Amino acid sequence: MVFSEIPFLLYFFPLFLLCYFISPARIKNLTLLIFSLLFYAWGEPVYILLLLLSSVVDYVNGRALERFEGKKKIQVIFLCISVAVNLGLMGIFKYAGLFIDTVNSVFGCGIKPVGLKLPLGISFFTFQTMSYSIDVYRRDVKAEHSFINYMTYVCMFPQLVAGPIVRYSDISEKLKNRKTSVSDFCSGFVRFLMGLFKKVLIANQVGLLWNIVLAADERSLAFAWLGLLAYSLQIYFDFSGYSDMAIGMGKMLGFSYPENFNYPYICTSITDFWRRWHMTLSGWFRDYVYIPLGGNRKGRARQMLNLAIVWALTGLWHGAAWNFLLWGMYFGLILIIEKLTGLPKKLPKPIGRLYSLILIMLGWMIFAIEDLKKLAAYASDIFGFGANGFAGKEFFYQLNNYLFVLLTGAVLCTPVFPKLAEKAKGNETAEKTLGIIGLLAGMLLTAVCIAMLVADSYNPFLYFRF
Amino acid sequence: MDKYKKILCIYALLFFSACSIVTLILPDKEFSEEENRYLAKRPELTAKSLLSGDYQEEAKEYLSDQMVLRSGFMRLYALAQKSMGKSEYNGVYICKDGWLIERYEDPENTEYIAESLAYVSENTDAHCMLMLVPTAISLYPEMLPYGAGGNNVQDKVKKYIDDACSKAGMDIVDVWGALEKSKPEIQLYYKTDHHWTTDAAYAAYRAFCADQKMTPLEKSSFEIEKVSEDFYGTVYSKALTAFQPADTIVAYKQDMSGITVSYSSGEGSLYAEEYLGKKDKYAYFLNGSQSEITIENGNVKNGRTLLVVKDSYANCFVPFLVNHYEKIVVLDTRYYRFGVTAAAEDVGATDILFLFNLNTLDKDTAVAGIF
Repeated sequence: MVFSEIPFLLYFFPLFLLCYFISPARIKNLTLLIFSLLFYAWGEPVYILLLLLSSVVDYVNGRALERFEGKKKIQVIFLCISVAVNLGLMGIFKYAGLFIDTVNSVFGCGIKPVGLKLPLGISFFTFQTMSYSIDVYRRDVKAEHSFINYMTYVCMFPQLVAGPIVRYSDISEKLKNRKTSVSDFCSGFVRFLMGLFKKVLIANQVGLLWNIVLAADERSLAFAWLGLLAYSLQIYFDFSGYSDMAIGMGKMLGFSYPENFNYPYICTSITDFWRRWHMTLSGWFRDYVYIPLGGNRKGRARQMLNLAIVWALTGLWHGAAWNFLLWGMYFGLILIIEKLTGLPKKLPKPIGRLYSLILIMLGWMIFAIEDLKKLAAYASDIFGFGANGFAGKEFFYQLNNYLFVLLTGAVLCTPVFPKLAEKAKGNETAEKTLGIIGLLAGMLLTAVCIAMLVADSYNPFLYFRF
Repeated sequence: MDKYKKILCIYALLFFSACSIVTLILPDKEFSEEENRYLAKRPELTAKSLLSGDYQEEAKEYLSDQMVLRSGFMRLYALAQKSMGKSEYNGVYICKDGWLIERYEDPENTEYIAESLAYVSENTDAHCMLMLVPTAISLYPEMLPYGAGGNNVQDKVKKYIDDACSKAGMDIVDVWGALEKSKPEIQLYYKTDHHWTTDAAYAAYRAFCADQKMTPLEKSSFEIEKVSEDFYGTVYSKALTAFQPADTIVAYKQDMSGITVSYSSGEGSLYAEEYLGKKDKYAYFLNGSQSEITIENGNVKNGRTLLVVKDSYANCFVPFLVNHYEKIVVLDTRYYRFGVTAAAEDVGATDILFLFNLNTLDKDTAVAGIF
């Protein structure tokens, strides 16, 4: 199930809220767990076994790690089991296809493809369960004794299939004891609605434009850039919208999930961008790969190597295709150059922003087009090597069609609303005006969102593949 | 601030729950007149469909199709698209002067269709004629929003199929030029529907007669009657534009003495009045989609029997032909499993007319079943 579709919004979610809030505090986690398993099973009626396997293995590991405290060697065995099971699941269900394809094309052999469908959210829940075992091993957290609480942590539907990647330490207290205030519930729900608007009213719309540009036989220079702009907005509003919905739902239930995005497109350097984009993933790689590898403590050369490793893995985490590896290396390289030269800090801010945006957009081009031949063709249009001129009729037609939504998207990439709210603070009239406008807009957009979902069939979710 | 957030929450929660509860309570609708299609039914729950995910897909479709106030939401959707400045959605261009013009879908089966048609021509003794009719996007490009319609290749597709069929010995009846010529005087297409108007069909009929060396009936020999001034067609159902003016349907009526029309279900007429009171008013012509229609004219004695293989564009065209053939059989090949060549033999056809519009031709299931 996707948050932004009719069965979830109108049926699952209201029913869940009803059951959850009439459940006595004692069994609230159980209610949440049951609904979460139903949620996952709706989308993956068979692969739910993988989710159960991954979580049960790490529950047992957690208990075992605690039991054998002080006996390092035995602990290491359990830790290895956790890593092996989780990476093994990813290896089989996510990467086996790519591996076999590559072996076949390099060595010309005819190994049969396994043809397994990618299980929903496998990249997210394996990372979560793995991090739990590692944290227990490092004694960063205490092992969870209650099976229900532990399962609730792993499976809870708001963040199960697309993050943010929540660490056990983020919510261990709240799992045992949490309260929801009316004010939390409301601001959580409003956050959820905002995420829904971002996804349905912007991401889905500009996504249509991207599809048109990508499918075109010929692209002028301007048309190719228009497409890239559309995709850059689509992926941001899609993913951050989904994170907003997750964080909002968490808040409604009394959890506080970590933030995942902090206006990434206003960054002044690529280093800055990665502090603002998919923050829970970057944090995960930092704490569980980069720092264990030695981070920056073992000399410059080793640090650069560590960065390269982390970014190759980050790329591959996003999808089992070579373009994702390329994409990861691309950013790895830029980050290394930024580190070595200290360049972005010397640039004036506006130039830093422009420099970052262009590199980010080119990055999305590598990310979006899996077929390397098509990628090369698109890249040649982007750099104006195509023979299709600067701008054609098609460009002006589509620009006209999508100008409004592109501009709205661009404005919403900057923190204009929080800034406005801040300015209004203390001024009663201004606060009231903003509140009423927000309310009316929210009411209208809620209805429009449902209308879009009823009438429109284009509603993909990009991060489901990861 | 908190107060407004609270109100918004209550509103959205009520909105969501009301939508679902009312949808579940209201009885399911089988057919949507507005969208002219059957709506999804409640899916059957089986272990197999649940495990394969089919049940979930069907349930999603079902809940959306049966959604309370569905047509209201569709209108809101159209309004939102329009407000965002979009001049194209749901495959329709919102054009000048109230024109709603369907987007041309990129063709995929041109070669296959040309082969199928040529095959029939080569395997029958009857005289075969092919009439491919362009749609509004080809004849009213000036109405389209600036820069739109760049993918329209109806002329190329027509030329390809015409050439292939001509080689196979078919008689190509070209009406494009005739339509182009009458454009200043008449409106060739409905503004809200994908069909051509009866006026355009008459212009095409004159071109057909000129091509076949027949004498066409003059306009004055028909009683031209406005049968509906309240027609909102299929393209409107997709675009749902606000303040859209309605189309007028005109019929060229003629003396029916000596002419009998029979459907597979019994005696009938060239025009079905009852459809004028419904949404699908174009079905007035030839009673919508009949599997087989036979029109016999006792006044004509030329020994010729015409078999018409067609899409719905022919429905307002065929009435013009009744004075030129002893017998006309209109066949929907989807309902005739033995193929056109067998059918031609069965009805003793001396002539076969293939009549299709160039937009839906590519996906026309009648052509697919043509052998």
